[in-house]
Amino acid sequence: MISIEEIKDLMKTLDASSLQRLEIKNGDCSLTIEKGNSGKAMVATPSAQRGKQEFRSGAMVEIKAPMVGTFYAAADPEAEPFVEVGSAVNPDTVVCVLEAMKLFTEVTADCGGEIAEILVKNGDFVEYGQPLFKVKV
Amino acid sequence: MSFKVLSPGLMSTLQDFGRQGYQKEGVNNSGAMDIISLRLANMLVGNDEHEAALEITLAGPTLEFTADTLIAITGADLSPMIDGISVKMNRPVAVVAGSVLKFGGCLKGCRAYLSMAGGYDVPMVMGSKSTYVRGSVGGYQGRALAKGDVLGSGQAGSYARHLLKYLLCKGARSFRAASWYVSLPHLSGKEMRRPIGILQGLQMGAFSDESLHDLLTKQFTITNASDRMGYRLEGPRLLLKEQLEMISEIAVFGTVQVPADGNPIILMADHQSIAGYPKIAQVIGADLPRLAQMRPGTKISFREVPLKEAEEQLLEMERYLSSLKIALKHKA
Repeated sequence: MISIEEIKDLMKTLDASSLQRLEIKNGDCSLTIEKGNSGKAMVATPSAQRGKQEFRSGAMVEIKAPMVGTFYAAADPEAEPFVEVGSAVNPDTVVCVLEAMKLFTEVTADCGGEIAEILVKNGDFVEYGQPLFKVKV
Repeated sequence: MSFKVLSPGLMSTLQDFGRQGYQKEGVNNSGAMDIISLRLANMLVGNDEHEAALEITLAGPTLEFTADTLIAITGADLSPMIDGISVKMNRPVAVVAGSVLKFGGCLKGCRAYLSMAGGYDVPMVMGSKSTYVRGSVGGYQGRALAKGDVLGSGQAGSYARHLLKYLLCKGARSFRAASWYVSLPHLSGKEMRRPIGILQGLQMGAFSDESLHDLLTKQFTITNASDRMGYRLEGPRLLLKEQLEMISEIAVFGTVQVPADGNPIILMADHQSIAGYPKIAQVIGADLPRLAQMRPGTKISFREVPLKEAEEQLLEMERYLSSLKIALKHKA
């Protein structure tokens, strides 16, 4: 048997990897985990899911949605947006928040560079893995 | 989880939902001025929402954490900083033992709430941990915090213990804040500018037509003589049609009474149990938390709302809080 903890662990590992699908057979017990936009993807933590990446300078990198939710460019309707086209970002810069079930989750750039393009509009509902920003690194 | 008070700030008292059911014996209710911020602060650290939190007024205290502690700060933005680094609000924050929490300038609102996972370990007095300073009842030795006080917590639940461990293992020199937060809809700029909703007071009919017109059309200023007991307002004087001899009767949080000088007083959380001045209006429950965040000098206006709308606004807030509770369960 495979314990729930082990399955959770496998899901996280799969999410952090470049693999799309994982199949395990152990005696008469088998388990298939596939990446997708369904609820199981929510288990991944933002940083685990995007992983550490190395980029050549000048390359374009996308900041992707770590979860499903409503995209907000600012902390509240009257506040300045976190970033605009041309803003410099470092890996810890908060670039937007995603709202799901009344909770707001901050999305960090996870790379350094300059915001080249904002791919979604304020208030858009975004899917897991959907590109939100293009960053020139 | 615990902290030591290095400097107490202007007025920092423990407050919960207040002493309910004792007003008939002449014991006032007390409790948090902004009950929504209190409830959210508790929910964020996994406490029962009725738990006490530290209500911090305008100028905050300096606190040194004596153990790893999970906290949340909600309500007014008093520029909280831990070891010199700004701390984001409205989210759980894991603080490392030895770190020092300070507050800076008051940027928005008037009262911040600091919750601690497990709640504050002070005795219940008449069913509440709320501090009533004038009566030296409840809270931490019946008074506002003072230098050298040490406040410990009760038993933190599994949500808080798990979250504290999770945040600290992500690496923290002084503290680590969660990357998610909740919004306080009643404190948005738009909300804070809206007129305060009122219902008719028990003696509204005794006031002159001109005064009633002024009440609903003119602005009033919250004066410096305002505290947890009541907000004294200044504006057009509100006068009776003719002198009224009254026997003192029940007063509650939000009752607007008018002494003979014509300057209204809104009774707040530490209000007396009975009041003898004519009551022109009653602030609706849904608007008390944001009224509590308005500081002396703020200009306010009033709008009469039907009872049905007053109830609907309160229900809307409750629906928001219950959906948040469900979302937070998923975070655990």
